[in-house]
Amino acid sequence: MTIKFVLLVNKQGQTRLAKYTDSSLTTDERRALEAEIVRKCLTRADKQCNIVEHRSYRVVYRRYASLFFLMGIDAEENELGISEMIHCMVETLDKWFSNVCELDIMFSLETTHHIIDEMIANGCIVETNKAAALTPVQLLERIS
Amino acid sequence: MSTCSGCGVAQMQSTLTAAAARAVGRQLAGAWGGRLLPAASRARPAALTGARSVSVSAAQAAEAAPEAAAAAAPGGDGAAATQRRQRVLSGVQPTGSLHLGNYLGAIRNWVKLQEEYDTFFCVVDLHAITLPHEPKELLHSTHASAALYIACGIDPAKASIFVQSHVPAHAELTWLLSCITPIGWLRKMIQFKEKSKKAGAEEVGTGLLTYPVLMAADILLYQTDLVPVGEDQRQHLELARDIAERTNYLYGGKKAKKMGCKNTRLLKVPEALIPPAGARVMSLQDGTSKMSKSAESDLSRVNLLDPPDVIVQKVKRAKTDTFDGLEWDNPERPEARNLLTIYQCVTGMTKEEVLADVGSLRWGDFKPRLADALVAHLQPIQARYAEVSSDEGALDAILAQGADAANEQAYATLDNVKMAMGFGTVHGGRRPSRMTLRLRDLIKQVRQCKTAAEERDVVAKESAALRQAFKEQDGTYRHRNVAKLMYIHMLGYPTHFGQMETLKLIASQGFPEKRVGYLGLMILLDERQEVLMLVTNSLKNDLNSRNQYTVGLALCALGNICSAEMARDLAPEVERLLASQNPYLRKKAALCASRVLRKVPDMLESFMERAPGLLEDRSHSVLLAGVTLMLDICAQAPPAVEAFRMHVPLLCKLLRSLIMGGFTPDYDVGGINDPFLQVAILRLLRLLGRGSADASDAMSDVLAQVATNTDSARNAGNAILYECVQTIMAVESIGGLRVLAVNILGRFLSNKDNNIRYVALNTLARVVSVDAAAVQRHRATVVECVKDADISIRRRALELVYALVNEGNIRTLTKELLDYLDVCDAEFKPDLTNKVCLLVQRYAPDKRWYIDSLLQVLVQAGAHVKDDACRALILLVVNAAQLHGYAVRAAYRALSQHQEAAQPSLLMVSTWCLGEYGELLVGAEGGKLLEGEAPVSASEAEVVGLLDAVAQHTGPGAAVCREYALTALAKLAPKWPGSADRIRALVAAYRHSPQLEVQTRSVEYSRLFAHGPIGAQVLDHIPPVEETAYDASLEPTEGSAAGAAASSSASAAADLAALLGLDAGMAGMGAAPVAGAPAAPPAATQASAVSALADLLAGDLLGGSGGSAVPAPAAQSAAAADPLAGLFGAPAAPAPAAPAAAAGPTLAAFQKGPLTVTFQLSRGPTPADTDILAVYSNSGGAPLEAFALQAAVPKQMTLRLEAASSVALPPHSSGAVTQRLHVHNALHGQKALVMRLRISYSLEGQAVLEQAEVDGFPAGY
Repeated sequence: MTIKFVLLVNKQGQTRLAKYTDSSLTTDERRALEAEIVRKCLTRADKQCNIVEHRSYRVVYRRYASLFFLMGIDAEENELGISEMIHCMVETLDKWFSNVCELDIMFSLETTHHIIDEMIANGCIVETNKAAALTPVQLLERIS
Repeated sequence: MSTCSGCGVAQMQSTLTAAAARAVGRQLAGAWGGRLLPAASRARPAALTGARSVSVSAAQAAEAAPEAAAAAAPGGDGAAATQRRQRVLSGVQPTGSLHLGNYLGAIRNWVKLQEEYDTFFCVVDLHAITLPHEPKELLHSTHASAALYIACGIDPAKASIFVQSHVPAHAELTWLLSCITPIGWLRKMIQFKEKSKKAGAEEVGTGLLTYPVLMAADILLYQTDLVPVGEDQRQHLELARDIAERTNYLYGGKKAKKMGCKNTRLLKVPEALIPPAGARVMSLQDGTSKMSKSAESDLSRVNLLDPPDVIVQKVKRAKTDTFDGLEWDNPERPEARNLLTIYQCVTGMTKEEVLADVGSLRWGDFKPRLADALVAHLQPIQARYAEVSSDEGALDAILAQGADAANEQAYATLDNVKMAMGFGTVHGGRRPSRMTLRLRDLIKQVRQCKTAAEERDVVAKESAALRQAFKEQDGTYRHRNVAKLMYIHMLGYPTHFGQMETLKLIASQGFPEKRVGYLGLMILLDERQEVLMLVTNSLKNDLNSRNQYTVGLALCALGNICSAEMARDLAPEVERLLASQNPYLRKKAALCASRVLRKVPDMLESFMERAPGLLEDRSHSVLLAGVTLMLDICAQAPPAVEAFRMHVPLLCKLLRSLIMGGFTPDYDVGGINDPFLQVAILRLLRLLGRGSADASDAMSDVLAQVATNTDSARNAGNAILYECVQTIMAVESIGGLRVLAVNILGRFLSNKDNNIRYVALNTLARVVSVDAAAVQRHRATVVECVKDADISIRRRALELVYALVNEGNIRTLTKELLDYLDVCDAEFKPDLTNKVCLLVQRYAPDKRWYIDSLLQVLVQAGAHVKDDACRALILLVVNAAQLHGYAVRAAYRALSQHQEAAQPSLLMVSTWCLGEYGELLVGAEGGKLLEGEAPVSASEAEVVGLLDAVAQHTGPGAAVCREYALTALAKLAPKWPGSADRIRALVAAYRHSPQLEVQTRSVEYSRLFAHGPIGAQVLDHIPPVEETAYDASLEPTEGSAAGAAASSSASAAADLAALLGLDAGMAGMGAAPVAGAPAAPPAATQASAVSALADLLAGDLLGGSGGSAVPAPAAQSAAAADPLAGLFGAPAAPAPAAPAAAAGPTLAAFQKGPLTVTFQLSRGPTPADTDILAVYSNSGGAPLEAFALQAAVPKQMTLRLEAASSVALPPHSSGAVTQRLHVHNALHGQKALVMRLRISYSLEGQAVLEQAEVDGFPAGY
């Protein structure tokens, strides 16, 4: 019941953020995995369901404008819950960047990572309240 | 714009569903930097403003959060979604000193407005420069104004406070609007008339004329509903309304639609908001004129920031009159009225109360009381002002946040207007400025790369630079460098060289460094790396830090990457933090603990005791983490389940309070209270209830409540229902509950949303083992889902169908699946085919159905049928003696009907059947037709013709098919003497096939036909096959080894096995039909010898061009010809017709002992080609046996040998043996033909080996 990875990928298939809690993969394997999954997800029609099976993972994805948010989960995890989680994550990012766009995430990679870390740790959901997730990030941003 | 303008737009809790959000997102997708969330589904981050200030603690932030969450009710699923709040915008000019008139007249009202409306407060610094100004002063007063407004009670958590110049859209829209504003409209403005008169019309700045347009822009940018205006501003608001209407008229409506605008009403026409009869405060010196900051005498006004003694002084010196007492409504006593008004305002009494209180006092007594009241009223404001303005950072943060909120709105409007006016929208959002420039440069460089190679170059260069930097141990940019490393890592390049740097960052004291360090640790390293050991100490320090966020970072990192050793070392810290006072740390520690447990299971006991303690927590996130920890513990140690069962009542209580507990804004998702926590609790209940009737009983009520009360209109609700159904089905629940769950699944299954259907299928697949009957009820729907457009759904459904099939329904389900197989798309076919094959194999009710179904699959999707399925079918046919006739009829039907489009697998299987049992097809031998079978009429000729067609089949797998066809033909030959000649001819036609295997078959079978009765025996039916032995014989053997073994082995059986091995290796399917054939010595030896020869020749001739050759039976040289030719580089000519032996010169090539070799030369198709007919004769008294001739030529030539007419030369020159050679000389005309021969034969049992060189070819050859 864990989230194995979080991927942010744009329409062109470029990875914008990757976060793995599954440490069994090497860099090359990850790259290959990303390419395969992205190819699968990007070709899907909008009406089709947001769940794709790939190898041993189930990938739940959602598309926001030009950016795809993907989460790889194991068979135990609740797909609908994860879908909700993705939305929660996007809203949190949106709140932080106010009008988050792909550029925000690209150029503020650290912050984005940090926000996601506040929400997901060890493959589990930690925090789903946007304000609570952003508080530590705010403080850190202020200091740096 | 000295007072205000105001605005308010609906707070936009939208009712967009996620799907709609997606749809809107799609519209935005075109722009690269497009926003991810459509404006409608987001909420203005108002609460953040407050939370951002340093002085606000986490706890306060959490208090502020409810509004944020309420305002930002996610996903647009908001419960209070429909309520719109009107938007109000107020602007104030920056000024260091506000006076009582401003405060009582306007600001105090705004404080009330913010409760009721969505408010924006803007410090309009751009307006402050229409008249000459002092830059330093402007900067100061801008800040001071903002601080003053906050001090007066405007709450950054409720209203957005921002500075006009921080939102560039104001200036931009002003230009757009000023171009459509007639100058006459502006000239009419009274303010312009007055001020320009004062300064001289030619001297004033253009801004003084056009600033009303700027003001209009201020208002219109925010789609303001209401603007609070005083009388003096009325004209400006009218102008703004005119401009808005003109813009909408010129560019809005259909025109905007044509330009692709989302919002065709470009600008909202604002209304005036008449403030509730605000106090009109007059000058202290003159009761008839307004208290004004521009009045000359400072005594005429009370400034908000005046110290108490100054206030006392000013009140004391205020203008009075000579009447006694005080009264409100005497027109001759404006001063009395003014002071009473002030008094009334600051004390909050009504007019009557005021009159009763002070009406009888004289001026001298009243003034001190007024001064005291004023001081008391202003004092808290002044204190708050001091506080706010002393913390510049906090104020900046508030303004930044306000600007963000304003920018969002402003750009939404501006983009729309620009689009309507024909400007492209490439505005890609504001670029955040937090990143170091160099990382930004790197990203830009990478983005500019057009090819992967370019990108590699850039990254390699950067990596080299980084390495250098790390080597130089320069600490200043370490932080930035690690950030770059993370980026490079994300692109998929190696970054191991930077790992030490992250460790150094973690060890450093600075917070930003630590943070990047930990990020790097989590991203760049994984637990396998040994450097990780080095970080343990830093982690330990940080876990003991007094700063909660440092501890949080460390916990997060530990939770993500901790290894077994680290877990052991740091477990005590984690355990201690689990009991921390701080919920932020507790939640992180809980998740960290589950990681520690996974690594070191023997820590279980201590965590097992602590974990349930977290269930008492008040914070949702800690609860969630606690439940997750318990789940993990249960997964790690099944005995824990037993221990945790006692907490079932508590969990039920928690769950119940979540469903019934009403609205809690913090964790609400679309009206559903913390779905994430609910899901986790349900999951834990599942583990605890499984196998325990008591526990299941205890939770059944709450499960029923969840199942009935959860709103299934929302995704979050469905997530809970999904989890709940799984729990109900997994625990020992009573029937009624099960029915409820199955009904929910039924609803899910018929849902339109594909996600829901997906999880429904998923759940059914899990439930099928528990309650197969419930699932069978949905069989029809499930089968429909197999045909869905979405592959994920199809896969799930197929899985489920697979689980649903049993002996009882196999016929109907397989029929459904086969029907679908025809229409499904290519990607899905392999899976489906495979599943159908497996189902047929597993559940086939009888063999006839088995044969029918698999043949059907082969017809429909032959390309995807696995070899072993074909093999199994053949095996089944072989072993089912009574079905031979039926099988061959079915095969014939399948083949003759689908011959054109048939895949190799169908061709092979049916060809095999025809070859094996073809004779049953003709006449009455095949036995009666089975019930329901269509009659087949086939003649020998038709069957042979069909097989011939198979042999000529082209496309993938053609070679193997050809082998099968040849074998089938060969097998039929002895059974059908009438067609034998035709078959021989057909088989012989492939003697020159470029495919070695096909050629081998052709030559072998041709030979076999010559052996009469033996041949017939060899080609008889295959006897029933033992399955296990058959499987063992399929073990792959290496081709060349087999060949080598065959050459030395005398055992026919071994040869056969080896040959089969070779077949299996080279042709896959090819092995099957021959596999069971009884050993046929002549054929086998020949065939294996051919292989051996091919090998040997390949070995020898490749090395020495034209040199040595090994002895080989002459007969095989035919087979050798092709490989030989191949070796010498000639294009293999498929079955060349032997050219007519034109009379040409004759050459005595060799003469020794009894053997004479003569070459008859003739010209080939080109001058470079020579055809040689070698004639061998034996003049001796004894026959020459096993005659073989091999020839080699220099490398400019190529040589092709055909088979000799015989391998034995009769004695006394009584019969000549001939063999054809074809030579191609690439250097014809420059180099003469030359050839080396190697001849072997045996004479009276004695092997003879001769070599000779042939030259002296006549000129011209």
